[in-house]
Amino acid sequence: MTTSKASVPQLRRTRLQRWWPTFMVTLTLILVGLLLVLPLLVVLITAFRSGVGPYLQALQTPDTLSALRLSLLTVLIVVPLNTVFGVSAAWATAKFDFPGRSLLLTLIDLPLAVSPVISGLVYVLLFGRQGWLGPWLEANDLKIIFAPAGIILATTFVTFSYVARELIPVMQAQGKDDEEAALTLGASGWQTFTRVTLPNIRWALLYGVIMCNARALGEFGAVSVVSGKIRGLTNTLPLHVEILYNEYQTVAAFAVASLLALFALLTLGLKALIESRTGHSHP
Amino acid sequence: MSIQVQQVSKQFGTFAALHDVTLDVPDGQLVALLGPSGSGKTTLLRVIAGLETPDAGRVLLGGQDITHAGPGERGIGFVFQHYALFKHLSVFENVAFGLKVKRGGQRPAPAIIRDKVMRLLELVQLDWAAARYPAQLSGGQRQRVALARALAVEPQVLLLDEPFGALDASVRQELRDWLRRLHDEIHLTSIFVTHDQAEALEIADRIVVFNAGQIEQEGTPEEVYDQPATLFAYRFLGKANVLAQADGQVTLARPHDLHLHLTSVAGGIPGQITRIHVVGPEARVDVARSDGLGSLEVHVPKTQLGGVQVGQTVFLSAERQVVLPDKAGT
Amino acid sequence: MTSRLSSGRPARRHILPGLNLTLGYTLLYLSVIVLIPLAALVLKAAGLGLDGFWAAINTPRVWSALRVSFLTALAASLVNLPIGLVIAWTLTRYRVPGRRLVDALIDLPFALPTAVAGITLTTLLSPNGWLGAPLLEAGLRVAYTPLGIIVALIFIGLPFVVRSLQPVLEDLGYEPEEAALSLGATPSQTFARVILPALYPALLSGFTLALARTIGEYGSVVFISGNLPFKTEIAPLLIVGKLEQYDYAGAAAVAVAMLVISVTLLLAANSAQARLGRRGQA
Repeated sequence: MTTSKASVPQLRRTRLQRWWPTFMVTLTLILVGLLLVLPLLVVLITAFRSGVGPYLQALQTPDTLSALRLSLLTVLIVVPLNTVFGVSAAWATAKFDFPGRSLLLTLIDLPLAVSPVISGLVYVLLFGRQGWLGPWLEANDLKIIFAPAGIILATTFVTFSYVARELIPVMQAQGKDDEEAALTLGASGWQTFTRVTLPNIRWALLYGVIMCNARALGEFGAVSVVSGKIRGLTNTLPLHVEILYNEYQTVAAFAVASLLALFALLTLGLKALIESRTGHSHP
Repeated sequence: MSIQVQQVSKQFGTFAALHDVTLDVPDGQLVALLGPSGSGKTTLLRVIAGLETPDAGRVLLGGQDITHAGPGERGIGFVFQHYALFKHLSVFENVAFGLKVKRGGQRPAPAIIRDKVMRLLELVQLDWAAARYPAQLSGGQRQRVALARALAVEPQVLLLDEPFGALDASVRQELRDWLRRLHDEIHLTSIFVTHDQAEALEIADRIVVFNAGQIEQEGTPEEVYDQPATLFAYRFLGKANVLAQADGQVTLARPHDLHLHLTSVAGGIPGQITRIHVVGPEARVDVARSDGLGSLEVHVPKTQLGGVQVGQTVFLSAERQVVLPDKAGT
Repeated sequence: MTSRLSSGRPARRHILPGLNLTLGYTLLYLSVIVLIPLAALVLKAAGLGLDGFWAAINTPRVWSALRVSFLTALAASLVNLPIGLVIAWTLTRYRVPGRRLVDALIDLPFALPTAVAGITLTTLLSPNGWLGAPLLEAGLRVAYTPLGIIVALIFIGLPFVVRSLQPVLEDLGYEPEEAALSLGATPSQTFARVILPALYPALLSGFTLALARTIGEYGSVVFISGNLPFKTEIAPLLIVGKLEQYDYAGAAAVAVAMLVISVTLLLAANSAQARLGRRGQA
């Protein structure tokens, strides 16, 4: 009985079916090619424009190496800090209900709505020479703005929400049954957390850490405001790229950029690996 | 070990989940907490387990007050509705969990843990699955792992929250029979929560009927089925035919307690057959009352149907009927 | 059923441990890293007084920068809706050669430092770049114009739209459209009346996330925009400029204006989404 009714649209559909997927796939590949692949190629080709020698040379200058060191130091401090915070915030907000919980969730997401430049500015206003705590810091010979500490703080602000955001929905969806089961079996709170909760969230946690790491390594706007861009002292890799580019050292700029692009591709690879392990794609 | 619940109340926001509930469960019995969703039965189970703290009242286990003991200190085993198995641990590790988290000197040696876990897995007929992960098991198998895990810590009391709720009908029946046999074997005081009256009637020693945060009735399956204390209990335990309703009293009969007559009988209710539906060996006959007071459902063995037809006028008499106060709101 | 009920409501005493510790740490860390610094910003701007604040932001240059930031972000996020829909649709529905690779690449803008994106797009689109030269010949100047800013923001915002749509498209499956087709709807009717409405919440959420991210974007824009006051100067750049002139209060004033705009947008979009989501569930 359905054949007589459905035959007409179905005929039309089969003709559509023939060209429509091909069209959509082609369009997608063109868009992805233009928007994503082409920029990657530009980085590589420009970096190697003058050959391998100048490329390697650009990566080995003392300024590049010190920028790399500061970037790694920043990541090594910021990512663990935001990870501990993310786990803690997720435990409190996903496993419990309390007054003000939804306000807290909004506040945790707040840094995502703040322009990176403002994320740097707030610390300048707090710790800069003209800032609220500036005179006190100066009197005690402490330096935050135009120093690594400021870069670390600004990066912490920008990547503040990254781990928490991944964990909260996952922990909320998992509910409390597993933890309650562990408690009825005699586990302590810490045992429950390390043996039950942590394994349950391990992929989401790793995912959050990877994305936090990528953003911390690549942050530019916030860091640029607090850094002062003192070569060899307060320069991170992205800031170094900017300086080289503005000095028309194009090959060197893109050589350092290619290093960052490599980190980005590594991030994407790890992310894809996690998604294939969990069978979920994360927004 | 016996369980006593004394005047327990529990409020969630403005919702009174439990209101002044008192209950005695004697040692070694299998008790069903039966009621609709939101009637408080799961909350009571969780209060006994220590997963909820009561606002008022006490919980005693073997005569000892455990109202303020943590869930791990009570000697209870809890089986969750959705099993709550640890997905990252094998079946063996799941069952061993409670033994491995014991502190210092109380933790048994690895060889003893192994023996004990394997014995429990044999008991639930899953020794072959020790190395598997929960995701590789069927629902019924997972539920049995959950049970073995709860038994591993040698609880004094076993608490089961809708243990068969998430299972297919056939598996549910099988697991029900199995749980009853297991209980007869180990005689562990057990309470299970269910909203399925057939389940409660089939395997429980005693049934506690819940409604709106309070106990409506408590008794053996026979007592609550045949002598329901309230209209709510009567309706919740099976199909209820209203024969008469007057002066705040309502007269009720179960479908299999009604007889069909082709000719008028004393006190018989006349009506017309609107539907005959045969379910296996039993015929279900719908009769529209001639006095216009709704319709009645009669269950008779198929062989005794005697060729009645839809549209035929018949007379109904009740072999057994119950008169209960007609409370509003039930 | 009842266990769900009970776990969703506050209990007087919590059985799971650690609320005080984790909530306390969360609030402390939030205050130190986010709330106190933001309060310092607001206080600094408030120090100007209402008139001073108004005077600081009510200049043609500030308005122009705010307008450029807002309009380019809006345009880029709008353009990303169809682009994101095509990509998400194709990735969930059709066999794409190298699907896993393409899918992984979608997140490149998340992972690639914005400064790298900025210099790359500028090189690509500058008057003598691979794409810039032919485009200029065709009469289209991209780099150092608002169009260049929009291109950079399209790059930055794309993954937000695709990643919002993908899970919804996967959940949607084929049943609704097969039902519509079996009822005699044409494919275009089916798309417009059945599929698109089901995607509204995801489109809105992708749009909002992209807008929130791009409205304050700095690194990818600052190279390609050319930074011409009144033409391609974005608000974050104006803040940096004021800082370099030691005009801290002025910088704070513009920052507060930006914050107000983006937070308002986010709240409006959230409530719109909540409304759409409720309709979707009913």
